[in-house]
Amino acid sequence: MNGTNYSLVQAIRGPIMLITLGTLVAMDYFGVYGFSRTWPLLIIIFGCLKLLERIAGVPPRDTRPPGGSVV
Amino acid sequence: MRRGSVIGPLILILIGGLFLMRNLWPEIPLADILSRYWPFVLIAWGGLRLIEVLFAAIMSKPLPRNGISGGEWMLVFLICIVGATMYTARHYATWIPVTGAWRGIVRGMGESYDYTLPNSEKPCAKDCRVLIESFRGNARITGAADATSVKVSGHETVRAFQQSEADRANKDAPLELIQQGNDLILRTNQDHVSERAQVSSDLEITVPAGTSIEAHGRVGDFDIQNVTGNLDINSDNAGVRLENIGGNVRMDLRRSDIIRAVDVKGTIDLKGRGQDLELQNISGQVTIAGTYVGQIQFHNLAQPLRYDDPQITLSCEKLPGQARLALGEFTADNMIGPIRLNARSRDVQISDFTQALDLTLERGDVSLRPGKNTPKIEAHTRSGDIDLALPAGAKVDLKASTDRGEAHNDFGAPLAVDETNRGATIAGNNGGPQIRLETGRGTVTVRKSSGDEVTFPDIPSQPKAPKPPSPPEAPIKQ
Repeated sequence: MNGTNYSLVQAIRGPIMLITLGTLVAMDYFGVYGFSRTWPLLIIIFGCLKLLERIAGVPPRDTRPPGGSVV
Repeated sequence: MRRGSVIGPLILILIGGLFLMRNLWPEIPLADILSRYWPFVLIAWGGLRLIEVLFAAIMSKPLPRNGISGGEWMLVFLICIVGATMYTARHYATWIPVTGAWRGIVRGMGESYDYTLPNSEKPCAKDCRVLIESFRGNARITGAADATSVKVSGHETVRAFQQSEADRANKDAPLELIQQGNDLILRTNQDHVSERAQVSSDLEITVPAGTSIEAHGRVGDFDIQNVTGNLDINSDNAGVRLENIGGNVRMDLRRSDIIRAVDVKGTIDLKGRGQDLELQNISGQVTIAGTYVGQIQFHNLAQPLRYDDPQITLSCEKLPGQARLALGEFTADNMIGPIRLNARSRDVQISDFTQALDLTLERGDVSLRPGKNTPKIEAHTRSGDIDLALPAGAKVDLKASTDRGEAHNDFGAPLAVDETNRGATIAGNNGGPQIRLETGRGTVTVRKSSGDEVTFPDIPSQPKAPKPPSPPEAPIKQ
Protein backbone atom coordinates (compact mmCIF):
# COMPACT_ATOMS: atom_id res chain seq x y z
CA MET A 1 0.00 0.00 0.00
CA ASN A 2 2.69 2.40 1.09
CA GLY A 3 4.78 1.44 -1.88
CA THR A 4 1.93 2.35 -4.28
CA ASN A 5 1.43 5.72 -2.64
CA TYR A 6 5.12 6.35 -2.86
CA SER A 7 5.31 5.63 -6.57
CA LEU A 8 2.15 7.65 -7.23
CA VAL A 9 3.66 10.73 -5.57
CA GLN A 10 6.87 10.12 -7.46
CA ALA A 11 5.01 9.77 -10.76
CA ILE A 12 2.97 12.95 -10.40
CA ARG A 13 6.01 15.01 -9.43
CA GLY A 14 7.15 15.58 -13.03
CA PRO A 15 3.74 16.63 -14.39
CA ILE A 16 3.10 18.98 -11.47
CA MET A 17 6.51 20.64 -11.86
CA LEU A 18 5.80 21.03 -15.58
CA ILE A 19 2.40 22.62 -14.95
CA THR A 20 3.94 25.00 -12.40
CA LEU A 21 6.73 26.00 -14.77
CA GLY A 22 4.25 26.65 -17.59
CA THR A 23 1.96 28.66 -15.31
CA LEU A 24 4.78 30.85 -13.97
CA VAL A 25 6.09 31.62 -17.45
CA ALA A 26 2.56 32.35 -18.70
CA MET A 27 1.99 34.66 -15.72
CA ASP A 28 5.18 36.52 -16.57
CA TYR A 29 4.08 36.92 -20.18
CA PHE A 30 0.65 38.20 -19.26
CA GLY A 31 2.07 40.65 -16.78
CA VAL A 32 0.60 39.21 -13.59
CA TYR A 33 3.85 38.53 -11.72
CA GLY A 34 7.34 38.47 -13.19
CA PHE A 35 9.16 35.14 -13.33
CA SER A 36 11.98 36.90 -11.48
CA ARG A 37 9.67 37.13 -8.46
CA THR A 38 7.84 33.83 -8.67
CA TRP A 39 10.61 31.32 -9.44
CA PRO A 40 11.07 30.28 -5.76
CA LEU A 41 7.63 28.64 -6.03
CA LEU A 42 9.29 25.95 -8.18
CA ILE A 43 11.60 25.07 -5.29
CA ILE A 44 8.77 25.24 -2.77
CA ILE A 45 6.55 22.92 -4.77
CA PHE A 46 9.42 20.52 -5.41
CA GLY A 47 10.11 20.50 -1.66
CA CYS A 48 6.43 19.91 -0.86
CA LEU A 49 6.30 16.95 -3.23
CA LYS A 50 9.47 15.49 -1.71
CA LEU A 51 7.89 15.88 1.70
CA LEU A 52 4.73 14.21 0.48
CA GLU A 53 6.86 11.33 -0.77
CA ARG A 54 8.27 10.88 2.71
CA ILE A 55 4.79 11.01 4.24
CA ALA A 56 3.55 8.49 1.67
CA GLY A 57 5.87 5.87 3.08
CA VAL A 58 8.87 3.76 2.22
CA PRO A 59 10.08 3.29 -1.35
CA PRO A 60 8.90 -0.02 -2.87
CA ARG A 61 11.58 -2.65 -2.56
CA ASP A 62 13.36 -3.52 -5.76
CA THR A 63 12.30 -7.13 -6.30
CA ARG A 64 14.97 -7.94 -8.84
CA PRO A 65 17.88 -9.99 -7.55
CA PRO A 66 21.03 -7.98 -7.02
CA GLY A 67 23.87 -8.13 -9.45
CA GLY A 68 21.83 -8.32 -12.64
CA SER A 69 20.28 -11.36 -14.21
CA VAL A 70 20.68 -13.57 -17.21
CA VAL A 71 17.68 -13.72 -19.53
CA MET B 1 4.62 -4.15 -21.30
CA ARG B 2 4.53 -0.41 -20.97
CA ARG B 3 2.06 1.37 -23.17
CA GLY B 4 3.37 4.65 -24.48
CA SER B 5 1.83 7.94 -23.46
CA VAL B 6 -0.65 9.88 -25.61
CA ILE B 7 1.63 12.92 -25.40
CA GLY B 8 3.96 11.85 -28.23
CA PRO B 9 1.22 11.45 -30.86
CA LEU B 10 -0.48 14.65 -29.63
CA ILE B 11 2.72 16.63 -30.12
CA LEU B 12 2.99 15.24 -33.65
CA ILE B 13 -0.63 16.24 -34.36
CA LEU B 14 0.03 19.71 -32.94
CA ILE B 15 3.12 20.24 -35.10
CA GLY B 16 1.27 19.00 -38.19
CA GLY B 17 -1.70 21.23 -37.37
CA LEU B 18 0.53 24.28 -37.01
CA PHE B 19 2.15 23.71 -40.40
CA LEU B 20 -1.27 23.14 -41.97
CA MET B 21 -2.54 26.39 -40.46
CA ARG B 22 0.46 28.23 -41.81
CA ASN B 23 -0.25 26.89 -45.29
CA LEU B 24 -4.02 27.42 -45.29
CA TRP B 25 -4.30 30.73 -43.44
CA PRO B 26 -1.00 32.57 -43.88
CA GLU B 27 -2.56 35.80 -42.55
CA ILE B 28 -2.78 34.42 -39.01
CA PRO B 29 0.30 35.69 -37.10
CA LEU B 30 1.32 32.22 -35.97
CA ALA B 31 4.78 33.14 -34.72
CA ASP B 32 3.27 35.86 -32.56
CA ILE B 33 0.72 33.51 -31.07
CA LEU B 34 3.29 30.78 -30.46
CA SER B 35 5.79 33.12 -28.84
CA ARG B 36 3.13 34.24 -26.38
CA TYR B 37 1.22 31.06 -25.69
CA TRP B 38 3.91 28.34 -25.67
CA PRO B 39 3.84 28.00 -21.85
CA PHE B 40 0.34 26.58 -22.24
CA VAL B 41 1.83 23.66 -24.17
CA LEU B 42 3.81 22.83 -21.03
CA ILE B 43 0.70 23.20 -18.86
CA ALA B 44 -1.36 20.99 -21.18
CA TRP B 45 1.42 18.42 -21.34
CA GLY B 46 1.74 18.31 -17.55
CA GLY B 47 -2.03 18.18 -17.15
CA LEU B 48 -2.47 15.28 -19.58
CA ARG B 49 0.35 13.31 -18.01
CA LEU B 50 -1.10 13.93 -14.58
CA ILE B 51 -4.47 12.58 -15.72
CA GLU B 52 -2.75 9.53 -17.23
CA VAL B 53 -0.87 8.79 -14.01
CA LEU B 54 -3.96 9.24 -11.84
CA PHE B 55 -5.98 7.07 -14.21
CA ALA B 56 -3.35 4.34 -14.03
CA ALA B 57 -3.34 4.61 -10.25
CA ILE B 58 -7.13 4.25 -10.09
CA MET B 59 -7.08 1.27 -12.44
CA SER B 60 -4.24 -0.21 -10.33
CA LYS B 61 -2.00 -0.48 -13.35
CA PRO B 62 1.77 -0.23 -12.91
CA LEU B 63 2.84 3.38 -12.51
CA PRO B 64 5.73 4.84 -14.48
CA ARG B 65 8.78 5.39 -12.31
CA ASN B 66 8.92 9.04 -13.26
CA GLY B 67 5.98 11.09 -14.49
CA ILE B 68 8.25 12.86 -16.95
CA SER B 69 11.34 10.96 -18.07
CA GLY B 70 14.79 12.43 -18.50
CA GLY B 71 14.46 12.61 -22.27
CA GLU B 72 11.17 14.44 -21.95
CA TRP B 73 12.72 16.99 -19.61
CA MET B 74 15.30 17.60 -22.33
CA LEU B 75 12.46 18.30 -24.76
CA VAL B 76 10.83 20.64 -22.20
CA PHE B 77 14.13 22.44 -21.84
CA LEU B 78 14.39 22.79 -25.61
CA ILE B 79 10.82 24.15 -25.84
CA CYS B 80 11.61 26.66 -23.08
CA ILE B 81 14.77 27.86 -24.84
CA VAL B 82 13.06 28.22 -28.23
CA GLY B 83 9.93 29.78 -26.74
CA ALA B 84 11.82 32.25 -24.56
CA THR B 85 14.02 33.26 -27.48
CA MET B 86 10.98 33.85 -29.67
CA TYR B 87 9.31 35.85 -26.91
CA THR B 88 12.44 37.91 -26.25
CA ALA B 89 12.81 38.66 -29.93
CA ARG B 90 9.20 39.85 -30.14
CA HIS B 91 8.23 41.24 -26.78
CA TYR B 92 11.47 41.57 -24.79
CA ALA B 93 11.45 39.35 -21.73
CA THR B 94 12.14 41.13 -18.50
CA TRP B 95 13.50 38.42 -16.26
CA ILE B 96 16.92 37.75 -17.68
CA PRO B 97 19.19 37.75 -14.62
CA VAL B 98 21.60 40.65 -14.59
CA THR B 99 23.34 41.06 -11.26
CA GLY B 100 25.78 39.03 -9.24
CA ALA B 101 24.53 35.90 -7.55
CA TRP B 102 25.53 37.02 -4.06
CA ARG B 103 23.61 40.28 -4.36
CA GLY B 104 20.58 38.24 -5.33
CA ILE B 105 20.89 36.08 -2.23
CA VAL B 106 21.30 39.13 0.02
CA ARG B 107 18.29 40.79 -1.59
CA GLY B 108 16.13 37.75 -1.22
CA MET B 109 17.16 36.47 2.20
CA GLY B 110 18.84 39.31 4.09
CA GLU B 111 17.17 41.49 6.65
CA SER B 112 16.17 45.04 6.05
CA TYR B 113 17.68 47.85 8.17
CA ASP B 114 16.44 51.44 7.99
CA TYR B 115 18.49 54.60 8.48
CA THR B 116 17.43 58.22 8.36
CA LEU B 117 19.58 60.29 6.05
CA PRO B 118 20.90 63.58 7.46
CA ASN B 119 19.28 66.58 5.82
CA SER B 120 21.59 68.34 3.43
CA GLU B 121 21.22 71.63 1.64
CA LYS B 122 23.28 73.52 -0.94
CA PRO B 123 22.54 76.92 -2.49
CA CYS B 124 21.59 76.74 -6.12
CA ALA B 125 20.90 79.46 -8.71
CA LYS B 126 17.36 79.73 -10.05
CA ASP B 127 18.30 78.04 -13.33
CA CYS B 128 20.88 75.57 -12.07
CA ARG B 129 21.07 71.95 -13.08
CA VAL B 130 20.71 69.09 -10.65
CA LEU B 131 22.39 65.86 -11.63
CA ILE B 132 21.31 62.80 -9.70
CA GLU B 133 23.83 60.04 -10.16
CA SER B 134 22.81 56.48 -10.65
CA PHE B 135 21.08 55.16 -7.57
CA ARG B 136 18.64 52.55 -6.36
CA GLY B 137 15.48 53.76 -4.69
CA ASN B 138 12.69 56.27 -5.12
CA ALA B 139 12.99 60.01 -5.53
CA ARG B 140 10.30 62.61 -5.07
CA ILE B 141 11.38 65.93 -6.52
CA THR B 142 9.34 69.07 -5.97
CA GLY B 143 10.00 72.50 -7.40
CA ALA B 144 9.36 75.47 -5.10
CA ALA B 145 9.04 78.93 -6.66
CA ASP B 146 10.76 80.80 -3.82
CA ALA B 147 13.50 78.29 -3.05
CA THR B 148 17.14 79.29 -3.52
CA SER B 149 18.71 76.02 -2.51
CA VAL B 150 18.43 72.32 -3.06
CA LYS B 151 17.32 70.37 0.01
CA VAL B 152 17.58 66.63 0.31
CA SER B 153 16.20 64.41 3.02
CA GLY B 154 14.99 60.88 3.19
CA HIS B 155 15.90 57.49 4.47
CA GLU B 156 18.06 54.63 3.43
CA THR B 157 17.26 50.95 3.50
CA VAL B 158 20.10 48.46 3.72
CA ARG B 159 19.57 44.79 3.14
CA ALA B 160 22.18 42.66 4.81
CA PHE B 161 22.51 39.54 6.94
CA GLN B 162 23.82 41.32 10.05
CA GLN B 163 23.36 44.66 11.74
CA SER B 164 27.12 45.32 11.68
CA GLU B 165 27.26 44.81 7.92
CA ALA B 166 24.30 47.11 7.47
CA ASP B 167 25.92 49.78 9.67
CA ARG B 168 29.11 49.59 7.67
CA ALA B 169 27.17 49.83 4.41
CA ASN B 170 25.32 52.87 5.71
CA LYS B 171 28.66 54.51 6.58
CA ASP B 172 30.17 53.59 3.20
CA ALA B 173 27.29 55.16 1.32
CA PRO B 174 26.93 58.74 2.56
CA LEU B 175 24.68 61.07 0.66
CA GLU B 176 26.71 63.86 -0.93
CA LEU B 177 25.67 67.12 -2.55
CA ILE B 178 28.56 68.48 -4.60
CA GLN B 179 28.62 71.85 -6.29
CA GLN B 180 30.38 71.95 -9.64
CA GLY B 181 30.00 75.28 -11.39
CA ASN B 182 26.34 75.71 -12.18
CA ASP B 183 25.67 72.03 -11.56
CA LEU B 184 24.74 70.37 -8.34
CA ILE B 185 25.58 66.68 -8.17
CA LEU B 186 23.68 64.37 -5.86
CA ARG B 187 25.63 61.22 -5.14
CA THR B 188 24.41 58.34 -3.02
CA ASN B 189 27.65 56.31 -3.17
CA GLN B 190 25.59 53.15 -3.14
CA ASP B 191 28.10 51.27 -5.25
CA HIS B 192 30.85 51.80 -2.67
CA VAL B 193 29.18 49.22 -0.50
CA SER B 194 30.55 45.69 -0.27
CA GLU B 195 28.87 42.76 -1.98
CA ARG B 196 27.44 41.67 1.37
CA ALA B 197 24.88 44.47 1.54
CA GLN B 198 22.57 46.33 -0.75
CA VAL B 199 21.52 49.92 -0.25
CA SER B 200 18.51 51.74 -1.58
CA SER B 201 17.49 55.29 -0.77
CA ASP B 202 14.16 57.06 -0.70
CA LEU B 203 14.87 60.72 -1.29
CA GLU B 204 12.75 63.83 -0.84
CA ILE B 205 14.32 66.59 -2.88
CA THR B 206 13.19 70.22 -3.03
CA VAL B 207 14.65 72.36 -5.80
CA PRO B 208 14.14 75.92 -7.08
CA ALA B 209 11.35 75.78 -9.66
CA GLY B 210 13.56 76.76 -12.61
CA THR B 211 15.99 73.87 -12.14
CA SER B 212 16.78 71.39 -14.88
CA ILE B 213 17.11 67.84 -13.68
CA GLU B 214 19.10 64.95 -15.00
CA ALA B 215 18.43 61.76 -13.09
CA HIS B 216 19.90 58.31 -13.44
CA GLY B 217 18.32 55.45 -11.58
CA ARG B 218 18.81 51.74 -11.41
CA VAL B 219 15.59 50.59 -9.80
CA GLY B 220 12.99 52.86 -8.29
CA ASP B 221 10.36 55.45 -8.99
CA PHE B 222 10.61 59.11 -9.86
CA ASP B 223 7.91 61.50 -8.82
CA ILE B 224 8.55 65.01 -10.11
CA GLN B 225 6.31 68.06 -9.94
CA ASN B 226 6.26 71.84 -10.38
CA VAL B 227 9.60 72.08 -12.15
CA THR B 228 9.92 74.51 -15.06
CA GLY B 229 13.32 73.34 -16.34
CA ASN B 230 14.09 70.40 -18.61
CA LEU B 231 14.03 66.83 -17.35
CA ASP B 232 16.20 63.98 -18.44
CA ILE B 233 15.45 60.67 -16.78
CA ASN B 234 17.38 57.51 -17.42
CA SER B 235 16.71 54.29 -15.58
CA ASP B 236 16.88 50.53 -15.85
CA ASN B 237 13.58 50.10 -14.10
CA ALA B 238 11.40 52.95 -12.98
CA GLY B 239 7.88 54.18 -12.66
CA VAL B 240 7.73 57.87 -13.49
CA ARG B 241 5.06 60.36 -12.50
CA LEU B 242 5.38 63.92 -13.75
CA GLU B 243 3.08 66.79 -12.99
CA ASN B 244 3.22 70.41 -14.02
CA ILE B 245 6.54 70.45 -15.87
CA GLY B 246 7.60 73.58 -17.76
CA GLY B 247 10.45 72.27 -19.90
CA ASN B 248 11.15 69.45 -22.28
CA VAL B 249 11.13 65.91 -20.97
CA ARG B 250 13.37 63.09 -22.15
CA MET B 251 12.99 59.64 -20.72
CA ASP B 252 14.92 56.48 -21.44
CA LEU B 253 13.54 53.69 -19.29
CA ARG B 254 14.60 50.15 -20.04
CA ARG B 255 11.64 48.97 -18.04
CA SER B 256 8.75 50.69 -16.31
CA ASP B 257 5.47 49.77 -14.70
CA ILE B 258 3.85 53.16 -15.25
CA ILE B 259 4.68 56.46 -16.88
CA ARG B 260 2.29 59.32 -16.21
CA ALA B 261 2.78 62.87 -17.35
CA VAL B 262 0.19 65.57 -16.72
CA ASP B 263 0.46 69.25 -17.72
CA VAL B 264 3.77 69.37 -19.55
CA LYS B 265 4.56 72.56 -21.47
CA GLY B 266 7.51 71.24 -23.45
CA THR B 267 8.06 68.24 -25.66
CA ILE B 268 8.12 64.64 -24.50
CA ASP B 269 10.61 62.20 -25.89
CA LEU B 270 10.20 58.69 -24.58
CA LYS B 271 12.21 55.56 -25.25
CA GLY B 272 12.20 52.11 -23.78
CA ARG B 273 9.65 49.55 -22.78
CA GLY B 274 7.15 49.10 -20.03
CA GLN B 275 3.57 48.59 -19.06
CA ASP B 276 1.22 51.55 -18.74
CA LEU B 277 1.59 54.97 -20.26
CA GLU B 278 -0.62 57.98 -19.68
CA LEU B 279 -0.06 61.45 -21.13
CA GLN B 280 -2.43 64.32 -20.51
CA ASN B 281 -2.40 68.03 -21.43
CA ILE B 282 0.93 68.05 -23.24
CA SER B 283 1.72 71.29 -25.08
CA GLY B 284 4.79 70.10 -26.96
CA GLN B 285 5.41 67.39 -29.50
CA VAL B 286 5.25 63.82 -28.22
CA THR B 287 7.63 61.21 -29.63
CA ILE B 288 7.49 57.67 -28.31
CA ALA B 289 9.64 54.79 -29.49
CA GLY B 290 9.34 51.61 -27.52
CA THR B 291 7.18 48.74 -26.44
CA TYR B 292 4.37 49.33 -23.99
CA VAL B 293 2.24 46.32 -23.23
CA GLY B 294 -0.25 47.76 -20.75
CA GLN B 295 -2.89 50.41 -21.17
CA ILE B 296 -1.80 53.48 -23.11
CA GLN B 297 -3.82 56.68 -22.90
CA PHE B 298 -3.41 60.08 -24.46
CA HIS B 299 -5.57 63.11 -23.64
CA ASN B 300 -5.32 66.54 -25.11
CA LEU B 301 -2.05 66.71 -27.01
CA ALA B 302 -1.56 70.12 -28.63
CA GLN B 303 1.27 69.19 -30.97
CA PRO B 304 2.03 66.23 -33.25
CA LEU B 305 2.14 62.74 -31.78
CA ARG B 306 4.44 60.01 -33.07
CA TYR B 307 4.09 56.59 -31.52
CA ASP B 308 6.34 53.83 -32.73
CA ASP B 309 6.03 50.30 -31.39
CA PRO B 310 6.82 46.98 -33.12
CA GLN B 311 3.08 46.23 -33.02
CA ILE B 312 1.64 49.58 -34.01
CA THR B 313 2.75 52.91 -35.42
CA LEU B 314 0.58 55.96 -35.06
CA SER B 315 0.99 59.58 -35.94
CA CYS B 316 -1.36 62.55 -35.93
CA GLU B 317 -1.09 66.32 -35.93
CA LYS B 318 -3.09 67.02 -32.80
CA LEU B 319 -5.25 65.18 -30.36
CA PRO B 320 -7.72 67.52 -28.64
CA GLY B 321 -9.75 64.51 -27.56
CA GLN B 322 -8.36 61.24 -26.39
CA ALA B 323 -6.92 57.99 -27.63
CA ARG B 324 -6.54 54.69 -25.89
CA LEU B 325 -4.48 51.66 -26.85
CA ALA B 326 -5.04 48.45 -24.98
CA LEU B 327 -4.46 44.82 -25.77
CA GLY B 328 -5.74 44.29 -29.30
CA GLU B 329 -7.63 47.54 -29.66
CA PHE B 330 -7.20 51.18 -30.54
CA THR B 331 -9.90 53.72 -29.74
CA ALA B 332 -9.71 57.43 -30.44
CA ASP B 333 -12.09 60.34 -30.35
CA ASN B 334 -11.56 63.86 -31.68
CA MET B 335 -8.30 63.58 -33.55
CA ILE B 336 -6.83 66.00 -36.07
CA GLY B 337 -4.96 64.53 -39.00
CA PRO B 338 -3.33 63.72 -41.21
CA ILE B 339 -3.58 60.50 -39.20
CA ARG B 340 -1.51 57.46 -40.07
CA LEU B 341 -2.09 54.20 -38.29
CA ASN B 342 -0.36 50.96 -39.09
CA ALA B 343 -0.90 47.89 -36.94
CA ARG B 344 -0.61 44.15 -37.10
CA SER B 345 -3.57 42.84 -35.21
CA ARG B 346 -5.94 45.33 -33.68
CA ASP B 347 -9.57 46.43 -33.66
CA VAL B 348 -9.68 50.11 -34.51
CA GLN B 349 -12.39 52.57 -33.64
CA ILE B 350 -11.91 56.24 -34.50
CA SER B 351 -14.57 58.92 -34.22
CA ASP B 352 -14.72 62.62 -34.94
CA PHE B 353 -11.51 62.95 -36.93
CA THR B 354 -10.59 65.51 -39.57
CA GLN B 355 -8.05 65.88 -42.37
CA ALA B 356 -6.83 62.64 -43.87
CA LEU B 357 -6.78 59.14 -42.41
CA ASP B 358 -4.47 56.43 -43.66
CA LEU B 359 -5.10 53.12 -41.93
CA THR B 360 -3.47 49.76 -42.64
CA LEU B 361 -4.16 46.67 -40.57
CA GLU B 362 -3.11 43.09 -41.02
CA ARG B 363 -6.03 41.90 -39.03
CA GLY B 364 -8.84 43.53 -37.12
CA ASP B 365 -12.18 45.27 -37.39
CA VAL B 366 -12.40 48.92 -38.33
CA SER B 367 -15.11 51.31 -37.22
CA LEU B 368 -14.87 54.89 -38.48
CA ARG B 369 -17.10 57.85 -37.71
CA PRO B 370 -15.59 60.98 -39.23
CA GLY B 371 -16.55 64.50 -38.08
CA LYS B 372 -18.84 66.92 -39.91
CA ASN B 373 -16.37 67.65 -42.70
CA THR B 374 -15.73 64.24 -44.15
CA PRO B 375 -11.97 63.78 -44.63
CA LYS B 376 -10.09 61.73 -47.17
CA ILE B 377 -9.93 58.14 -45.92
CA GLU B 378 -7.81 55.16 -46.92
CA ALA B 379 -8.44 52.04 -44.85
CA HIS B 380 -7.13 48.55 -45.55
CA THR B 381 -7.39 45.40 -43.52
CA ARG B 382 -6.52 41.90 -44.68
CA SER B 383 -9.07 40.30 -42.47
CA GLY B 384 -11.83 42.09 -40.57
CA ASP B 385 -15.08 44.02 -40.89
CA ILE B 386 -15.19 47.67 -41.88
CA ASP B 387 -17.95 49.95 -40.67
CA LEU B 388 -18.15 53.56 -41.85
CA ALA B 389 -20.75 55.95 -40.46
CA LEU B 390 -21.12 59.16 -42.45
CA PRO B 391 -23.20 62.20 -41.55
CA ALA B 392 -26.45 62.34 -43.54
CA GLY B 393 -25.98 64.18 -46.82
CA ALA B 394 -22.19 63.82 -46.79
CA LYS B 395 -20.41 64.45 -50.09
CA VAL B 396 -18.07 61.59 -50.90
CA ASP B 397 -16.29 59.78 -53.68
CA LEU B 398 -16.51 56.34 -52.13
CA LYS B 399 -15.36 52.88 -53.06
CA ALA B 400 -15.59 50.16 -50.42
CA SER B 401 -14.83 46.58 -51.32
CA THR B 402 -14.49 43.16 -49.77
CA ASP B 403 -12.82 40.22 -51.52
CA ARG B 404 -14.77 37.69 -49.51
CA GLY B 405 -17.85 38.80 -47.67
CA GLU B 406 -20.93 40.95 -47.86
CA ALA B 407 -21.44 44.65 -48.38
CA HIS B 408 -24.27 46.61 -46.79
CA ASN B 409 -25.24 50.03 -48.02
CA ASP B 410 -27.42 51.63 -45.37
CA PHE B 411 -26.49 55.10 -46.54
CA GLY B 412 -28.60 55.00 -49.69
CA ALA B 413 -28.05 57.01 -52.86
CA PRO B 414 -25.69 57.88 -54.43
CA LEU B 415 -23.99 54.69 -53.23
CA ALA B 416 -24.80 51.35 -54.81
CA VAL B 417 -23.77 47.77 -54.08
CA ASP B 418 -22.26 45.61 -56.77
CA GLU B 419 -21.84 41.94 -55.86
CA THR B 420 -19.04 40.02 -57.50
CA ASN B 421 -18.08 36.36 -57.34
CA ARG B 422 -17.42 36.01 -53.60
CA GLY B 423 -17.06 39.64 -52.62
CA ALA B 424 -18.89 42.89 -53.09
CA THR B 425 -18.25 46.58 -53.71
CA ILE B 426 -20.07 49.71 -52.65
CA ALA B 427 -19.34 52.66 -54.90
CA GLY B 428 -20.73 56.09 -55.54
CA ASN B 429 -19.63 59.65 -56.14
CA ASN B 430 -21.38 62.92 -55.44
CA GLY B 431 -18.26 65.04 -55.56
CA GLY B 432 -16.62 64.80 -52.18
CA PRO B 433 -13.27 63.67 -50.79
CA GLN B 434 -11.96 60.29 -51.81
CA ILE B 435 -12.77 57.36 -49.51
CA ARG B 436 -11.25 53.94 -50.15
CA LEU B 437 -12.06 51.01 -47.90
CA GLU B 438 -10.74 47.52 -48.53
CA THR B 439 -10.91 44.25 -46.65
CA GLY B 440 -9.64 40.85 -47.75
CA ARG B 441 -12.26 39.01 -45.79
CA GLY B 442 -15.15 40.54 -43.87
CA THR B 443 -18.28 42.63 -44.09
CA VAL B 444 -18.26 46.19 -45.34
CA THR B 445 -20.96 48.54 -44.09
CA VAL B 446 -21.57 52.18 -44.97
CA ARG B 447 -24.30 53.86 -42.98
CA LYS B 448 -25.60 57.17 -41.69
CA SER B 449 -24.28 58.15 -38.30
CA SER B 450 -27.03 58.52 -35.75
CA GLY B 451 -25.29 61.30 -33.85
CA ASP B 452 -25.67 59.88 -30.38
CA GLU B 453 -22.99 57.21 -30.60
CA VAL B 454 -20.37 57.37 -27.91
CA THR B 455 -16.81 56.21 -28.44
CA PHE B 456 -15.84 56.01 -24.79
CA PRO B 457 -18.99 54.81 -23.04
CA ASP B 458 -17.31 54.90 -19.65
CA ILE B 459 -16.38 58.57 -20.08
CA PRO B 460 -19.62 60.36 -21.02
CA SER B 461 -18.56 63.85 -22.03
CA GLN B 462 -15.48 65.42 -20.45
CA PRO B 463 -12.15 63.68 -20.28
CA LYS B 464 -11.95 62.14 -16.83
CA ALA B 465 -10.13 63.92 -14.04
CA PRO B 466 -6.61 62.68 -13.48
CA LYS B 467 -6.25 59.97 -10.88
CA PRO B 468 -4.53 61.14 -7.71
CA PRO B 469 -0.93 59.99 -7.87
CA SER B 470 -0.49 56.84 -5.88
CA PRO B 471 2.06 56.99 -3.07
CA PRO B 472 5.55 55.94 -4.11
CA GLU B 473 5.91 52.23 -3.92
CA ALA B 474 8.35 50.40 -1.76
CA PRO B 475 11.67 49.76 -3.49
CA ILE B 476 11.13 47.19 -6.18
CA LYS B 477 12.78 43.91 -5.47
CA GLN B 478 14.36 42.40 -8.48
